[in-house]
Amino acid sequence: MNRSVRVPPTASANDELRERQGLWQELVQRLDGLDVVATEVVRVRAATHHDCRT
Amino acid sequence: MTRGSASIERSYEAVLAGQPEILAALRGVHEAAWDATDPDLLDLCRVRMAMVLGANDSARSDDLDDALVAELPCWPASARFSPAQRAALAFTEQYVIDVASVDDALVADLSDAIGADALASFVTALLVVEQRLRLSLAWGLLLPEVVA
Repeated sequence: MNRSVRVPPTASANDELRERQGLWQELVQRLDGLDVVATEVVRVRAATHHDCRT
Repeated sequence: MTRGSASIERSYEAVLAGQPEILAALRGVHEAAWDATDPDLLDLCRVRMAMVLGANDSARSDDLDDALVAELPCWPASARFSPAQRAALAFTEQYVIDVASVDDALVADLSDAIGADALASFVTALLVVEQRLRLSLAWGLLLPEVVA
C-alpha cells in the first residue's frame, strides 16, 4: 500500500462534481434494504481494500 | 453532455424505478463527471474500461474516431495516442484492475500531462463511469428480468 502524497494539497476536483458525488453517497447510506451487519461487512471490506481510514 | 451506452441508462431506470432520489442523484453525478473533464479523454478511458470489464455494449463511442477506438486494445504499441491519452489509459487500466496498486509513476505521468486539478476531477469522473459500468454489469447478472 502506498500512502505517499501524490497531488498538491491545493489540488481539488471540480466543485459541482464533488458535491454531487457526496449527495448520492449520502442518499445511498440512508438506504435500509440490506441488513446492518451485511452493510458493515461490505463497507469495512471496501475500506480495507482502498486503504480508507475514515 | 454525457456519453455512454443508452442501455445502461435504461437499466438504471428499470432497477431504480422505486428509488427516484437515488436515480436522480446518480444521473446528476454522471452529468457532472462529463462536465468537469475533457470529454474525449474520459470517453476514451470509458471505452477502454468497458473493454477490460467485458461490458461489450459500452465498448464503443459515438464521438471518438473509429480508428482510435479500434486500436485501443493495443494502445501501448500504437503511435496513434497522445502522451496525455497514454497516461490516462495506463492509469485507467490499473484503476480498473486493482485500484489499490495505482503507483506514484502512474499518477505523476497523468498529473504532468493534464495538471493536478484536472487529475483530481478526472479520477473522480473515472470513479463515476466505472461505477456505472460495474452496476450495469452486476444488475444484468443479478436482475436479468428487470434490466432485460
